[in-house]
Amino acid sequence: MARLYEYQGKQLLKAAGLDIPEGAVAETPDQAREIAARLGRPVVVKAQVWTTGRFKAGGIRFAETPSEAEAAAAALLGHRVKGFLVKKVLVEEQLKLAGEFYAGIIIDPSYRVRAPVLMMTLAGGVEVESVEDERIARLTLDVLRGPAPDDLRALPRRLGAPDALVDPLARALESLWKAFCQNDARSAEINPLVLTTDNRIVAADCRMSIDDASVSRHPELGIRVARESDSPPTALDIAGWAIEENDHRGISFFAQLAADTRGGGFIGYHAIGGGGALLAADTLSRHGLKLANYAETSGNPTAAKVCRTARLVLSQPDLDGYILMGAVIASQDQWNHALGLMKACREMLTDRPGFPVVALIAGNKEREALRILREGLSTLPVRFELFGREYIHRLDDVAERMKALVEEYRAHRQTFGAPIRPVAPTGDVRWPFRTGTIVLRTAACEGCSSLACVKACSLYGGYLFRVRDKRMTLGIPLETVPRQCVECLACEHECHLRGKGALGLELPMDFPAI
Amino acid sequence: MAILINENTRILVQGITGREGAARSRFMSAYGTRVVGGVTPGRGGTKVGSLPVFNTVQEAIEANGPVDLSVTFVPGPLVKAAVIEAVDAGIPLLVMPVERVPLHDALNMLAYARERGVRILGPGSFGLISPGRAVAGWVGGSEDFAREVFRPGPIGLISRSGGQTTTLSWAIGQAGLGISTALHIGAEPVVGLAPAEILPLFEADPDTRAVALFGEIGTVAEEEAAETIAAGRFTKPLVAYIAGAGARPGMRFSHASAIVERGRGTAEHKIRALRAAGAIVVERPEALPLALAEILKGTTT
Repeated sequence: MARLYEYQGKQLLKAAGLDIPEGAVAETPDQAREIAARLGRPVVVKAQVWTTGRFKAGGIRFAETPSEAEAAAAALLGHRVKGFLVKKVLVEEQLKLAGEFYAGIIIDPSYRVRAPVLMMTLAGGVEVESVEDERIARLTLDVLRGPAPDDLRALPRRLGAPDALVDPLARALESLWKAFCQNDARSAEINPLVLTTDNRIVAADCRMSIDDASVSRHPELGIRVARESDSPPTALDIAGWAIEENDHRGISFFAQLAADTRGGGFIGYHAIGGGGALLAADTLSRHGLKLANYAETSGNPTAAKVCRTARLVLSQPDLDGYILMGAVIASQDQWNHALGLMKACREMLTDRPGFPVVALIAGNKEREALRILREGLSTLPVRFELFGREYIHRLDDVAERMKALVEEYRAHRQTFGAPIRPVAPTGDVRWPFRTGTIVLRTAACEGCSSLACVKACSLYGGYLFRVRDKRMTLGIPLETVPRQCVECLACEHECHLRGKGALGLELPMDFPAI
Repeated sequence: MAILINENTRILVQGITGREGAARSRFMSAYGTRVVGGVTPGRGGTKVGSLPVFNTVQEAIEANGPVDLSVTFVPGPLVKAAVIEAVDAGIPLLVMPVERVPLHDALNMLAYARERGVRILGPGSFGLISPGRAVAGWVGGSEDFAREVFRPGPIGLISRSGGQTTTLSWAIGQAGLGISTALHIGAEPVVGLAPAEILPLFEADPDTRAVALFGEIGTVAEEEAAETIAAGRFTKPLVAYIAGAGARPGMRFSHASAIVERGRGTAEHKIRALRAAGAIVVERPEALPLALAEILKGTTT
């Protein structure tokens, strides 16, 4: 789930009617001093990082004066709290506490529940996991109707809250529920929810995460990568999410594991399907292979989506190999994986002699997929080995081969290369499809009688082209190409293998600078 | 027999004119499934192959006869309306192959369906297959491949991974056994039909002699399956594997449900619960078919 920072979550609580401390976010010590001066009273300076236990780790500091606030911010900004780099601090008024509580909503996936559950305890300010069960009040929320006011009042009552507090606490719970719904949250917690000495109920902290699949409904939240993560996304992660964001055909997942791969010793890891992906990654690690990244494509993605993902996997500097681990007998048409990978390899590995490319690919259209890879990779200077379904439960054997190829490559390669980037094709005719463009060099195409592109397009279900005067031409209106093209990339592959290499596919994507 | 789907099940495909809807309808029909038609708003009166397309679910039922199961090939952000429509039309079982359904939509439609006694497999389910009889969803992918991988037989299969539904069925076939019905429950944060609810269906199915469960870290699905066994609602042999035991802390994973939250859903906890209930838990997935073969020979491990 996409996490929010404390200051973001608090703004959402405020919009839902809950009191939050007065304050603002600072990115420099100067700003922190100004905020403290504007507030004109003692403040607390809080590091904005995705971790709990900030206070004990020194990530929360109290300041009586603006210059103390400046010093506190200087001590936090640019430093690490529990391993997390602090880029922002929240500067807020200090609250005078009369009581500390906890309120939170999480999803209970139990089949008996399958609903959000509201939890409250009056023993706040500590990890709620450590509070005994009988001191926590729970309410399963009816998502169709929402909670009745009486249900909400029953929670503080059950916990023995004084009468005067029951209504204010119930109102706070209602605001929390509102914020949870309005923002498509997966979880929302306030710890502590405080009672101040002047009898206000205030959210002194907030941890909220937004459902990944709903992030696109909330552009106002500015979430760059809608993915479960312990840390903010890297530039490569953001590029990975861009592949997925606007294309619902299949799933592409990318996570950068190694921050710096210069000097070599890392391989690119690309898996097919969620279930076998972790298992295969574990196997490779057990054999001493270091993963630069962790990518997955699954759910019948287009070859174009696979290609973009594979490019990202190959794009980290100084890699010593690439492995596609399809540790699954997949139902999806596996030629999409073969054609997507082939395009990425053609674009990026022509000047990497001996670069290890290992692929385990199994399932529907497995034979076709393996043939595509065998034929295509044979035209490149790489070292490749291919494995089919009989290796699904022999991952150790595949990992051993990968290890051997990587070691051979490391022993022989002379220099470390720059990060590899694909080069866009050139041509004089352009036929745009949904996520790219077919680019044709007419002069080269005119000397070709193979019709390989036409055959390929019909074989993989596109039917874009037809034959006129023994030559390939677009057989459908140009404006229907985006709808008709299945982005299998087969035309380019076949043109390069059997034609004149006149047809290229431009698949634009953003690569971060390294 | 088999559970939930067989050669007589009358199936509707919502979103039949889309890329997946059209391709999978052809596959399901080719496999012998009784697909009776499809729905795409605004495309009523057209056809996909030989299948009639209707504007609404209600229209499809009125013109074309009753429907036992609907498969929703509708993109995640739009699927809620399709599900509500199918529930209102009284279809008793929905299969949702769609991933990335907004969580609050999923919560809403699951609650709506439950109040009206409708079962939902998914969201994010690859589907289900009763080998040799019928298939709903994209599990199997193409007719030839589905026939090659899914052999009919006495094993019920419940999987939390789409890919492993196929992989394990193939491995079970390699061990000389076959499948009564295989189901993928879906990998979204909340899903409908749970292993705890599916096990009693396999209990009542005379074709099923044992059940294989491919579990994962996250949620309480395996713990609740163990409760079902302990409560005597499932008495046949269960062999399980739990994936993710070796996941290093901080390692990310694409299944939204496979996340250890608040210390819940660890592999250790699931394995302990299942073993305490009398299930066999194997350490590697390839051991699962062998354990099943052993049990069905009569020599329990």
